[in-house]
Amino acid sequence: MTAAIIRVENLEHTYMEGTPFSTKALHGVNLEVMEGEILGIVGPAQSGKSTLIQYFNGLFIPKPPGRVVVDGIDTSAKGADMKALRQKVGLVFQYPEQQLFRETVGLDVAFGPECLKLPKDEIAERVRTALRQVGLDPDVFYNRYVFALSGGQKRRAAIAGVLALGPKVMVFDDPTAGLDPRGRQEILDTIASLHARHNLTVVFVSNSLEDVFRLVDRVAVLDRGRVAVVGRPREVFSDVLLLSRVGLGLMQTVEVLEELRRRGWDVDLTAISVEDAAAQIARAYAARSGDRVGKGAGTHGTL
Amino acid sequence: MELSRDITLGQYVPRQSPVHRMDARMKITLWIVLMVALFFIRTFLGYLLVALFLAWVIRTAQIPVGYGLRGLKPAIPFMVVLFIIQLMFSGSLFASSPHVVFHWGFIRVTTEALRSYTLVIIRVLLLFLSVTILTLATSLVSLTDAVENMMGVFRPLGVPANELAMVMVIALRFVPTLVEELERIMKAQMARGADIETGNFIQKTRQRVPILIPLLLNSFSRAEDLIVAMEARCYRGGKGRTKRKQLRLTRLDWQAAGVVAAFLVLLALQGHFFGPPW
Repeated sequence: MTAAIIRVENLEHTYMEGTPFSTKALHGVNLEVMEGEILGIVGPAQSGKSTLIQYFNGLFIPKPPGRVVVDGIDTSAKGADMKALRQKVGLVFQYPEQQLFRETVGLDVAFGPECLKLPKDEIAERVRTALRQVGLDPDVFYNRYVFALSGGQKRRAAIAGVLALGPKVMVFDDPTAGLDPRGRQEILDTIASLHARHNLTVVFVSNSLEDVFRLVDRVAVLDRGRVAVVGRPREVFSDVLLLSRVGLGLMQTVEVLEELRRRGWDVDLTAISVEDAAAQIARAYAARSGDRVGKGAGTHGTL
Repeated sequence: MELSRDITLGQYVPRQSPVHRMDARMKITLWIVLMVALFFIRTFLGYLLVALFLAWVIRTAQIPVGYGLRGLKPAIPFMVVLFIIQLMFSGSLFASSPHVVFHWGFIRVTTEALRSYTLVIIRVLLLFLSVTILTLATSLVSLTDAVENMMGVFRPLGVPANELAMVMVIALRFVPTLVEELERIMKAQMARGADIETGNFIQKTRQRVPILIPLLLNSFSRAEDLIVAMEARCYRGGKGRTKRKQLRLTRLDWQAAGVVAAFLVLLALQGHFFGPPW
């Protein structure tokens, strides 16, 4: 966690530029992704999350004075090596299972390495490794038809397709959207293990503050095309004023704690994990009922 | 990359102009009349007058026509190639002409051919411009309402007017959606290392496979969703269906018709119609 692997400076983006429908999506974004971290990006719809991450692998090229530097490659430089760039930064779009196009899982995951023109045995090796990394046993899934997979499995197969490029950074755009709780958990576990066991830098874009809190080291909040704040999730997600101004909901725990505090309970809002929040509430409850017992005893005593 | 910027087909720019307020049936009728007239004009001056007339319509309609013409960009190479091929291989059509500009083997370019095919190109450009004006200044709903209404004339012959109009509205409605989807899939495959820009013809064709298959699959599932949504709303064609918005020809429409008619009469009197094509 020392150097920035992705550095975004003064980034602006306008959709449909030069047409009557032009809208500005990014207004001077500055952001750094540190090597080896998990960075969360949250923000309500239309805040520019998906636009921003497309700059990370050169799908969008910044206009001066904006600049995006990825692991030493300035993406707006003339003759920047886009192939190398896309190999460094794997980008997983929303609903990535929709990009599967080959009959079997193994063939589809092999598409990326084939584009890199790797030798056959290395492609096979990469496919097996990538499948293992997303928790799909290659012996079982290599020859399985894509149509025979469940929603969560399809999504993990699609993630494997990006992993097979051997990236240093993986960017996930709302990877749990539309999955059931179990599929959701599997994706989150996969991402956590990619970071912990395979040393990948991860950028995690999500609408679920709970998911972000569980996964990330740092979180950036986007607000209508600007970075509102970057910080530790514990501090950022307990900042009730900021979140409501941006238009994001609260984590369930924070919501409960905030409501209790409004009613005069002495609770600490930064205890936002479920366990900490439970402990806080238990302590505050004990203190209050202790008071009441004490008062009761006192009253009793005077009689 | 942003594909949707260059797709102007079926885009509507809302404004409060007389052209926007006109009954779509009248707009379509006048557009057809102008189109037909375009085919009979034989002089450069005639086309120039039509161009000026269209420019005036554009100003009245307050539409950003530069944006509309963006859709023409992909067609330019085709037009250039067609122009050159026509020039090269139509020598026999103008065999009697003595005004040879360029002669090499069987290729024989005459001033008559040059003039004739330049007129063709101008005609195509003006056609495109006029249809752009029509679609930029008419919402999709009124356009299809008008088409349905106008096709109603043929209903006694068994033409399913409402169904055809529905087909048209769905087709046009999904152009931007599919473009968006196409862009998303292209990006997703590029992020996986797909190289969709370079290579020779065969390679390029092969590179389309990872894009076309998902696009096709998604379109099918979209179509199925649409079917369910329509059935859930008890759609059963136009029979017995009434409309909230009634089409009505107003004075404005007849004024517009008068202007177009006057313009065409003027062109005719000046002798811009008919005559030989060169």
